[in-house]
Amino acid sequence: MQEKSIDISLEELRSGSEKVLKQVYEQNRDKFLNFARRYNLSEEENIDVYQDAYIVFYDNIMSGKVEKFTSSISTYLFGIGKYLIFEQMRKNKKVVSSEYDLSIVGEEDELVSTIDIDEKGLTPEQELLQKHFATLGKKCQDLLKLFYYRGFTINEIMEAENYNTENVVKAAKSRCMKSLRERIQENAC
Amino acid sequence: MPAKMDKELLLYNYFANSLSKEQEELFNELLISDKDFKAQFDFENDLKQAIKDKENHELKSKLIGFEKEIQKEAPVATSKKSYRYLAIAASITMLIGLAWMGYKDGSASYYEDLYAANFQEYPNTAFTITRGDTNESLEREAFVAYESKNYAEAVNKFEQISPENKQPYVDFYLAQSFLNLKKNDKAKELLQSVIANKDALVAESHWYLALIAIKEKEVETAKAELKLLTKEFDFNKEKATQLLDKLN
Repeated sequence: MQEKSIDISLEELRSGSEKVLKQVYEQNRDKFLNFARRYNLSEEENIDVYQDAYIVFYDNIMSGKVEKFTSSISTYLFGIGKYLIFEQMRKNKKVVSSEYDLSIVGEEDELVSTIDIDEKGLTPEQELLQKHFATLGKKCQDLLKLFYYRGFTINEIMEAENYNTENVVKAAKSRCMKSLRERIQENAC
Repeated sequence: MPAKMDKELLLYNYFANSLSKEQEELFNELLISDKDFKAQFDFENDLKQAIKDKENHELKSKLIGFEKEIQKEAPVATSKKSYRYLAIAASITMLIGLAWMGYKDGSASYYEDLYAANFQEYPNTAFTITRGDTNESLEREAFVAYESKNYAEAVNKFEQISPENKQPYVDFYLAQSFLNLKKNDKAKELLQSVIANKDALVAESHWYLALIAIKEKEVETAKAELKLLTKEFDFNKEKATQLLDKLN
């Protein structure tokens, strides 16, 4: 029974519904902050870490990296969060209070190894691409987002965006990419 | 040499997360051997990163918005609650105060209790055990034992680490393991050497030395350690100040 409700929210999360996004954020927030308070970061940093953990989690769902929940959402968030907290502490060179809880080792850590945590900033090429991507029409942006960010197939894009045939999607994608390249080249001249 | 169409298909499958094993091999080969293919891949992959970053920023703004809403609703509720907590806390303080007079000098377990109330083993922040590593080093084994509170095993493993492989924090965690095994003398010795080496975890070592002194009823030593800690470090400053008050 519980399994089922978890599966549904994965699907709902994937649908991109803002209501679900908020609901999951609120449902896990206090639990996460209580967990994070064992470490010696400020409350502000804890909230920041929670949001970043949430983003990593959401990313992995949206990109299809997480295809099925093998644990509860909070377990994912704790695992990612713990990793991010340690990173943050190392960055701060912050010493740790003695109020740590070591019982939380195990399941969460296992999970984190199945998750992509990408903390690098953008390269100059990527920034340029981002700038010009934002100038494309909405249809192009949506299509490229579904393909590159969501990992949709051409067929899935056809269904999601009401294109008539796969060939129309392919042609549209080529046009969008061409236009993106042209804009970057114009900028380079 | 694969035809242009095949290369396109490879890239397509890569981004749709549907490369077969064979395709993956070919894909990796082409990345090394075919400059144009690599350039095309880099372009598309950069685009993927750029879009992901944009999405993440948008999501972050949304979450900040949710957070603001939550915090707008929260203050009223918490202030009501905190009054009640304050009242309860005040009564408890009074009770403790009343019990205090007979307790402090009369009971031998006073310092034991003070120690127990403040002692907690230091967490492993030095060595990341997971993230799929298969490193079966002694250090890893030691920290696995430490995290699972198997301190005898941790001591055993920490002590086997050869001097050239020994990170500066190892002695500190070895001391922690001894503390948990109630071998205070050994812990003390190690903590003093951590402080002498000035490498890392110096403030933390002072804190634990103070706790050991409390447990051994060496009040003046404990006070000296705590004073030094509050004066020169930020670690556990508040707790150290409270402890000092109690010892005075």
